[in-house]
Amino acid sequence: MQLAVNIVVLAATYALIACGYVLIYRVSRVLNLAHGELMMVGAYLLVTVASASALPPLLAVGLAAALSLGVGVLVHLFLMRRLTGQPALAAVLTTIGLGILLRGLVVLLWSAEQQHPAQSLGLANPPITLFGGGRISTLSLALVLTTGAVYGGLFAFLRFSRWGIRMRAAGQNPLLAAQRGINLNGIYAVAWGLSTFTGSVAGILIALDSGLDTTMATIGLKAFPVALVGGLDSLLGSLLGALIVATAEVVLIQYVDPLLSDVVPFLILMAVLLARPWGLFGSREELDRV
Amino acid sequence: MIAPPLLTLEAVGVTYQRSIVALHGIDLTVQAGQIVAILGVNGAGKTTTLRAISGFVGLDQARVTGGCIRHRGTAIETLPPHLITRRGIVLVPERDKVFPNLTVAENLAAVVTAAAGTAERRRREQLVYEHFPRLAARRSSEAGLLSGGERQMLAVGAALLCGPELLLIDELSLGLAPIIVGELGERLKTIRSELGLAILLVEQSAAFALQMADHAYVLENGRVAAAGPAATLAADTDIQRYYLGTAAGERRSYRDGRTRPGACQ
Repeated sequence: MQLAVNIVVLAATYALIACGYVLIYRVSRVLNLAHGELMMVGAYLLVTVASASALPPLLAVGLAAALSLGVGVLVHLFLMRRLTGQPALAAVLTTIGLGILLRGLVVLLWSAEQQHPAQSLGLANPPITLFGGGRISTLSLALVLTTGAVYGGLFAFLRFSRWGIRMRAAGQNPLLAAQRGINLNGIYAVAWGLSTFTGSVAGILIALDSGLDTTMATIGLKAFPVALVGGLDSLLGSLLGALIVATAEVVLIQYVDPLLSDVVPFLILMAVLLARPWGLFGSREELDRV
Repeated sequence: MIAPPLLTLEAVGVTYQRSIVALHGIDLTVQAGQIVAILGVNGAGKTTTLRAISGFVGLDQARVTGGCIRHRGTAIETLPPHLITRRGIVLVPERDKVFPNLTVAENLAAVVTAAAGTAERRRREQLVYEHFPRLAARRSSEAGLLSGGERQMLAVGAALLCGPELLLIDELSLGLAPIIVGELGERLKTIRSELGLAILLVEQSAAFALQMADHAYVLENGRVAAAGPAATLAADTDIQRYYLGTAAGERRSYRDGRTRPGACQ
């Protein structure tokens, strides 16, 4: 039972992070390799909000998440917008550069020490016993519920809202989208904002649960195989990919060796890339762009 | 003072990838309410002309390198495509004219009608479904599953939703059965007179285009080779023979050209 709970919590974490990769890739065909760093910045924003104000925890988390949305929009406005029309590889390399820059900035601004925003917010994290006998910490439960809400929201947004439909349209054929009056830069800014927002919510919840230092970026990178396994342009795929990777990771840690934890996602990634390079749910014709 | 024409191109040049010149100075005018056709063989610059008017994005690696494109007197050659669309100049492209993974209804929903209110938008949607009832029947099927004719209807419908005063249509007839082309042509003429649209039509099928248009231009190698009222061009046998490949009365296959003594070398 406890094993199942661990799998669900880890899968929810991965899924919440991975949907950020999917959003940006689906709309603009750019792999955002700075996603882990952006999510870390979101978590550090919470540290600042918590220390600068006496807001109640929920409001502080909301404010930090809203600020991270702004960070994503700014990244598009000041960096990625200038790269529209350049080869996708140039954009991907730019995101790697952005990641390195952000990691440096975080150390400069917040120091490399481990932070505990949950303590400065006075947030308790008591374990809850589930009916099957498994135990889950309150914040992990919050994370699972948040992931559910975010995915539900994203599905509904992309399916039914006019902006969501336009985002899908822009992902399929940016030129035609522009010719139908859609402002591509507006769409890309929304995608970057949403992606950074969801990533930061994951980062914030992880930081509240287990503290925060610059290694958080690595967690973001581990979620990248999850997005790829599922197929980079499919939200459903990243849910399933998260479940597969989390199951393998938890089971191998339990029965083989805890040290495997950092390797598992990438082993699965290689296996999937060999057998089905476009991912489980990805569109096949996107292959030439990877 | 006379109001400036709906659209003018003055010595417009277009270059792809900074080195490949596709247009060497095109002059062209479209008056309000007119149907104008651009004819010419493959690679003459027809599609490039339409693309230059409707605006390039960075992905195209193309830009207008000379001359001026004016909409009612205002230069528009540096505007991004979505702003040109919002001015009422809307393109129906030759390929990739619909979003294949969106349904018919979603294809229409994706269109931005910034200036029009909700009521106006609904009225336009109504109009599209009225003129193309087959779209209404297939409202919730994915556009990728539509037939070529239905896809063309959807593309024209989505363009109409943008509220155009000038419709740019690239190869209306391409890949469609003649009966469908005739139907679409008639429908377009009705819509044109109902909404007071102007249409700039690019066509390989000269017969169809000259029958639709009031005025026509013949392009060759990125230049205007001939221009005039459609009826005049249709009657001009030299133009028919040299530029449009259909000599009146006689029909030639490419084999005749190949075996003609001294044709090449």
